[in-house]
Amino acid sequence: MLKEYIEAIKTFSEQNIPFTIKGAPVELWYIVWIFIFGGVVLGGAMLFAGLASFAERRFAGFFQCRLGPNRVGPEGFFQFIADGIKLVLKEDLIPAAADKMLFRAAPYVVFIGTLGVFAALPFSKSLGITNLNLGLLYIFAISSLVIVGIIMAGWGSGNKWSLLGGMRSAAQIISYEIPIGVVFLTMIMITSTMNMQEIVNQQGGGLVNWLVFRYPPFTLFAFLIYFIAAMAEVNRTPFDLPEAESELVGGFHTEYSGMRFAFFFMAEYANMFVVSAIATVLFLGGWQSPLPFFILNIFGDYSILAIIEGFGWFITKVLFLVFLMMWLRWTLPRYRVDQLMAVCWKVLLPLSFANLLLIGIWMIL
Amino acid sequence: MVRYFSAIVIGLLSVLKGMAVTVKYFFSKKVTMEYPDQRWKMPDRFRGKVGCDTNKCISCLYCVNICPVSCITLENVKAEIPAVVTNLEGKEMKRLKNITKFEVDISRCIFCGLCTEGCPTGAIYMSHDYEISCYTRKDMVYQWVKTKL
Ligand code: SF4
Ligand code: SF4
Repeated sequence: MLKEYIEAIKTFSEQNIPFTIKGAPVELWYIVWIFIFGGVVLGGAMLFAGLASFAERRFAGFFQCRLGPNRVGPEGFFQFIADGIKLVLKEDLIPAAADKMLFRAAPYVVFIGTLGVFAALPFSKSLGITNLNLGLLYIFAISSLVIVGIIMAGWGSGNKWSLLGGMRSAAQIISYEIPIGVVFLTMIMITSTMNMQEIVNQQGGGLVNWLVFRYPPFTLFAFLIYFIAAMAEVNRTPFDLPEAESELVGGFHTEYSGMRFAFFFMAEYANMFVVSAIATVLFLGGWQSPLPFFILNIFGDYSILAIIEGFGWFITKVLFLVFLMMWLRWTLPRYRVDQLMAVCWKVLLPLSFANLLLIGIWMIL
Repeated sequence: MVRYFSAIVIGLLSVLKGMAVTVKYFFSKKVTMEYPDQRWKMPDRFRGKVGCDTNKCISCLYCVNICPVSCITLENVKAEIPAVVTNLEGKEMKRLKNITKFEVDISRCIFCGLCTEGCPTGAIYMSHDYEISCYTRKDMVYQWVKTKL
């Protein structure tokens, strides 16, 4: 059993590791690469989370006719570093009534659920941590870990508000995962692959080939359904019932402080990136340029330039969607619990099924 | 069925309308006043900290008596040579006493402005200064005459 496992790792690493030092055992390099990629992903996700939290606060100010934090560094740019330092230095409190193990483990479970998705995202042409054949399924599966972490946090805190927040979030996320699943199914049906790179490859050749415009207007509906459900998945306003301040104090993270709270916080922002990235890959052409060619490639076919530009397009699209989420957050008030469920089960789910059927019929015709 | 779909359409349209409103504010001029760097210009009749020009004061004790919270303390001695002060109407008045103490306890002041309204020479006035916080209660007592005569 173990031997087969090691053998499998060896063959996998021989195929997938970019380069090794001659003579060094390939398994060792495999482990080194795991750490390098892990570090890059972790650093990238944390940097994004920090920048996004700064942007969120600044934009919140702008949307409310205020200035927002603008004191630390130029235009307040280093505010997130100050926030980070503050959170690291804060005392890590564990309530007496808490289930200590669950309480301690919960933030990491949430963060792993978010971070795991990064492994399958195609950041650019042949730029990604791995290129999984079942990428979409893997993403769908591993992002569900977030709920487990949130319930652990809610239960482990030993606090009724936290428990209520955890329960709400479980109900909410599991409900909204169904429309997302149906939308994924629709897109798999259209592209007939679950490989993220392959999905993006099919959308090359300009704006018109993006999947949002493939079967108008049904794929646009699918995009809308996905985007709404995704906002509910990452607990953003107007779907932020698990942490509704006015009802539940802070929901599942009421009892958290210091670094553990920071993990929840970063997971939320990293999660925003993740769902926007999936939306970009599935609907907005991933790293493909909206023009039929890559701008940097006008004077010749330089693959490295194409990769850089593809990364730029990908990040631009993702950031636009993230901005859209922030925009919606400061526009809409919070739903009531029954309204939240009604939107999911009475609107999004039937519409996504109808969408699936209609696109299926169109594809046969 | 019609109601179901029209509700969805109306919902989406209202979201768009709301987004239009918020994005308008996103680009509008911000109302924030960055306080220590920028300050409000106070209106003319703003009643801030009580100020006093003791050179003009003729020590009539009007302000001391009118103050509802008795926060003005004034002590004086008879002057050997009376000084001449011009009052608000331009007439000259004689100052027969020299002030030895003129204190206003801002911590008790209610900023009613009564003291300034009847002052014959305009010596006591309401300034535009609203930054009156300090560390001790003693600092709240403003002494306009410090030198002993
Ligand atoms: S009313 Fe005016 S003149 Fe009279 S004591 Fe007060 S400050 Fe001096
Ligand atoms: S403003 Fe009113 S309370 Fe203050 S010193 Fe003058 S009379 Fe007294």
